[in-house]
Amino acid sequence: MYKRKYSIILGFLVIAVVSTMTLIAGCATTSPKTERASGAQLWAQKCQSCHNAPPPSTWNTQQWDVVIYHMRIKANLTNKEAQKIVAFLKQ
Amino acid sequence: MINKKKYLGYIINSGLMLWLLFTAIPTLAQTNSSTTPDFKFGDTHFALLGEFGYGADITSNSTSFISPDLGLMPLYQQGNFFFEAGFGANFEDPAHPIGIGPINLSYMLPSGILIRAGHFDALPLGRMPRDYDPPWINPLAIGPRGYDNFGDFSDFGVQVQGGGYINDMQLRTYFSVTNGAALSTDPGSAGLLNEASLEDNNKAKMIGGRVSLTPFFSSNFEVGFSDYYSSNVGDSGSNFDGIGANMMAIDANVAPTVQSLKGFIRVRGQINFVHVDKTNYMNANGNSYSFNNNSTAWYGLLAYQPSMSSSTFFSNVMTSFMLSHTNTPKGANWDEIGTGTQYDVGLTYWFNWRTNLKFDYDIQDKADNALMIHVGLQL
Repeated sequence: MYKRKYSIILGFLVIAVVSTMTLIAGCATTSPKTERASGAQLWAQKCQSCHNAPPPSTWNTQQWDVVIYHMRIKANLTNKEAQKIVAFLKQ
Repeated sequence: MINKKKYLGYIINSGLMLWLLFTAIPTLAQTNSSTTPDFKFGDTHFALLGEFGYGADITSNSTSFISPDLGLMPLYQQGNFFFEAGFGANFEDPAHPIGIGPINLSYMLPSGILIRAGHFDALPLGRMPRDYDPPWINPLAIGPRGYDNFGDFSDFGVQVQGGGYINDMQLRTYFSVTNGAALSTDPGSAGLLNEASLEDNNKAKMIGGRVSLTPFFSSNFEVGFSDYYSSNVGDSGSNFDGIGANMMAIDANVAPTVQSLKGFIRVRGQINFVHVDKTNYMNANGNSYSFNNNSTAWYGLLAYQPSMSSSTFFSNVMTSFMLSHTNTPKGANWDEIGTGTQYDVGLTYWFNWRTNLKFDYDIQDKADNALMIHVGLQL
């Protein structure tokens, strides 16, 4: 029973490790479409993934720096995404 | 059997460590060759965020106002260092009226990899904690059945997170090493995993993380896999020393705007599996008993908001339905939770992006049906 259970878990882990290794080996820090996307587009898409998207007037420019850092952790945004979104929100 | 279990435990530990190495190091190495400018922050900034939730639960037998949910989160950023803390009102324990947590410090490497140390509000076992904790985010008055016991953990340790792209497909990873959950041996909850306390109960660490994939750029569809493992969740020197545990979750989430529906829909789902090694517990009468300690909790949520409706009122109304289920072990003497299903139908009015009034009709096994009228705000 234990052996079967652990075998299942181990199987999933092997998949996770192998797929992650394979994928990360060819990973880039940005993508062609992210490069082309506007900050407003990423703001709508990424924020709405979890909650309503906050309007730019919600915080001042300094507070947006802090909030976007907080959301980088929560939503695991990439550098480029955070950079574009915060630039849009500071306008 | 014990040796085999430990051997498999070492394999799992080793696999997860390799996972960290192979996810973090290659991404780190890309920094020098990347043409992407580093993310630049200002100097020193501070913000205070908070959340508030309150309401009343109405059943055929009673109408009860609930305990207010108040949390404050000071955030402090200095260059690439980031500090966050959390303080919450705790009305259920008069001896400790203010709850503390999370408290942690993060450092962002130029590559975008983030290293965090301290106390984490919730390990990302799936997406449930992130999606359902704050009342200003949750469109319903409560979360899925069983997720307090099988998936919502805070802990002390270190975490590494990062990610990258393969063409336009996005990959995100979290990896953490923490004190780990502690096995409850109290008669009413024997076999359940408790959140780690400040005093670590043994030398073993819980290791694990989450890998998620967003395959299509034009959609925020995300699918994730999480796994956390500890070779020992029992107290050192006790009869439960050496009892291992594993928590695993698979989650999926998408929130597309649908022009033909003049709005957007949210579809979310997650299934959690929790396994604790079989052992003998003592009941309240002092008799020994044991059971196969495997639990499952899953939920699915569908929500729709006609945000592009010509009617301002209806454009702010969200309709949601959630189905959640727990499957607990036969033979477990758990007071608070058992196998059962929960249905929630909700109507939420959003006054703005972070303030809501929600009506949630909740149907659960072995409980009165309840109409929950709650408000949620981000402060």
